[in-house]
Amino acid sequence: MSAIVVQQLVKSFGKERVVDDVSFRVESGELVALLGPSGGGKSTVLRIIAGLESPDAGSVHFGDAEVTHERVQERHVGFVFQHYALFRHMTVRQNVAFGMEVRKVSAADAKRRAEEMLELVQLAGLGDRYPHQLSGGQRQRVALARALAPRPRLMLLDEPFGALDARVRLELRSWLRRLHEEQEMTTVFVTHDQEEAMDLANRVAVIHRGRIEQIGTPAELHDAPATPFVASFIGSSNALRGEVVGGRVRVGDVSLPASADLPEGQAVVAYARPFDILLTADEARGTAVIDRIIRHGGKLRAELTLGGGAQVVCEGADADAPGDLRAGSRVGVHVRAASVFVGDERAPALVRVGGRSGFAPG
Amino acid sequence: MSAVRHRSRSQAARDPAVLRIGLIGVAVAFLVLFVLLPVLVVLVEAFSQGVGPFLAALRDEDTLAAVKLSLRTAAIAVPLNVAFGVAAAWAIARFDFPGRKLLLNLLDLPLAVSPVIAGMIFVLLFGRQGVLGPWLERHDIQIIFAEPGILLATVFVTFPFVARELVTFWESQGTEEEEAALVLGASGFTMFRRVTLPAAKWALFYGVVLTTARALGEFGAVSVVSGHIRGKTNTLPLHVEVLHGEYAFAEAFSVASLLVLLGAVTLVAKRLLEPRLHTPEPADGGSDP
Repeated sequence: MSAIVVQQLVKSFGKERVVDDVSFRVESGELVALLGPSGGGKSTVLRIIAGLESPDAGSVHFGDAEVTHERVQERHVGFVFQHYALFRHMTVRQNVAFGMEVRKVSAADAKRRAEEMLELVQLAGLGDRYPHQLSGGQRQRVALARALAPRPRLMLLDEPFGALDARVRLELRSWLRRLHEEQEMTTVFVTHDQEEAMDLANRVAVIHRGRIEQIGTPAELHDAPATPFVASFIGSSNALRGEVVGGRVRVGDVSLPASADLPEGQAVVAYARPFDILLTADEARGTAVIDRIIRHGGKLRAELTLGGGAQVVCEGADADAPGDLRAGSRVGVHVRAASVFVGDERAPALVRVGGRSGFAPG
Repeated sequence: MSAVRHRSRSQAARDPAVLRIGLIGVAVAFLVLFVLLPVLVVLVEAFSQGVGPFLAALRDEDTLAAVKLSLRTAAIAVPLNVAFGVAAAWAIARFDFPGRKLLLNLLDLPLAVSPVIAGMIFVLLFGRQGVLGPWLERHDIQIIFAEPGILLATVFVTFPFVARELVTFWESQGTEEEEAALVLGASGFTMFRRVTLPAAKWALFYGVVLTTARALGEFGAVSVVSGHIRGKTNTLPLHVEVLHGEYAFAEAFSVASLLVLLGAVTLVAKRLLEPRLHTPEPADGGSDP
C-alpha cells in the first residue's frame, strides 16, 4: 500500500499554472525528494499534500483514504519550513509541546514527549531558550522535533536546509538520514540542491514548470534521463545538436548511434556525460581539437572543440587517453553513450528516442 | 547579535568641518526654536505665579471635569479601536477579498482629512439640521454638543493607529508561523490566540500608545462637536483653549502642562517600544556551536 498517492494535481495562481497534472506515489517508509529549479512548483505540490493549499483539480490519498478535502489540521502531517517558522514568543520546549497540547495530549505526557524529542534532536538542556537565542541549525532541529512530536503520519519538509550554511547543512543532512532509517517514516522533501536529493532520497521526482519530468532512483535519473531537461539538469552533460544520417546521429564529424526508427535527416539533440566522451588515437568516429587540458592525479579533464564546431568537456582516467595531448593538438573522439532527443532544446514537447548505449570498443 | 553601528568614518570620507558644523547648527537651532522653546514656555508660564496657583488651576472643578471627560472618552475609544484595529488588520493582512484595497485606503482617511472636517461629518449626520437630526430629536437623543459626539469624533480620528501598526507588522511577518500552528492541529481561533496575537503584542501595544495619545490630545474634531460647555463637554485640550480665550494664561498653561506631560510619556513609550518592533529576531542564525 502506498503511503501517499497524488493524482493529476493542477493548481494555478492567477493566470500562472504552477502545478500541471502532477501524479506520483510514495511508498510507505520511503524518502522521496521533489527536485527542481526554484519556481518550478515543487513547494506547491508539497503544500497541497499538507493541506496548506487546495488543488484546482486532482486528488491526494493517504493510504486508502482520500484527504483532498480534509482540512490541514485533520491530516496530521509533520511539516518543516525553510525558515523554521518557530513560535518566537515561546520557549523551545513550548514550541515542541504545542502540537501535542492542541491535540489534547495530557500536559504530563506532552512534557515527557517534548523532552524525549529534544533528546532526539540533541538539544536536551536548551528547552528554556527562546528561538532567537539559537543558531540556524539548532532552530531547524527544534522545528523537526516540533513536527515529529505529535507522531505525524508522514513528514513533509520544504527546503529544510536551504537557509543554513554549508557545513550545518551537511550535518543536518546526515542526521536526517539516520533519523529516517531509525523511524522509517514516510518522508517527502523539497530541494533545489540535486546533491542533497541524490544523497538522501530513495527516489527523486524532478519537477520543472509544474510538471514531473521524471521520477526514479538517483541512478536512473543520471543514467537514463527521460527528458532533455533531466539530462541537462542532473549532473553535468554536453548538449550536442546533430541529425540522423544513415541510422546514426552525426554531430559534425562525430558519429554516435541512434535508435533505428528515426527518419533520415531528423534533427536531434544528444546529451553526453563528460566521462562518456573518450579521447583516442582512432579518428574514425570523430575528431576534436583540444582547447585546454588538465591532467593531474591520474585524472584528465579537457575542453574540446569537436569537428563540427561544438564545444564539449570530457573527463576520464589519464591512463586511457593517448599520451602526447596538449592544447591545440588534434585527437580522435569516441562518444560511447548519449541520451538522444528529437527536436530542438527549446521545443516544448521532446520525445526520448534513444538511451544510453555502449559502443563496441574500437 | 553584536550589531554595532559605526558612525565614525575615515578622515578621507569626512565632510568639511564648516559644512558639518553648519548643518548641526541649523538642526539644533531649529529644534530649540520650534520644539524646546515652546515646551519651556508652557512650563514657565504654568509656574509663572508659583506652585500654589499651578496646583489650584489643576484642582479647579472645571479642570477636573475636563480631565475626567478626556479619560472617559479615551477609556471607551481605545478599546473600541483595539477591537476594530485587530479585526481590520487581520482581515487586510491575511485575506484577499473584494474591497481589501478600499478598506486599506479607508484606514488612512482620518489621517488624510482635516480633523475639522471629521467633526463636521458628525454634525452633518447627527446635528439638529443633519440627516438623522430630526429622528434623534424625536427620540430625545443628543449626540452633538454632548459626550456621544465627542466619543464618535475621537473614535473616528484615532481608528487608524492600531490597525496600521498591525497591518504593517503582520504583512512583514509572513504566514509561516501561523501555517505551522495549523499543520500541528491548531484551529483557526487557537492559532490566532496563541500564535498570531502574542507575536504581534508589541505592535499592538505601540498602536495603543499612539491611539491613547491622540484620543487625549485631539482638538479639532472634538472642538466642532463639543459645544464647549464648561465642566460638561470640554475635554482637556478644549479646556486649555477656553482658559486661554479668557486670558487666564497661567491656568491655561498649567492645564497645558498636563498635555505636555502626556506627550513626554508617549515619547518615552515610543522610544522603548520601537526597538522591539523593528528588530525582529535575525532571520538567519550563525553556525552551530
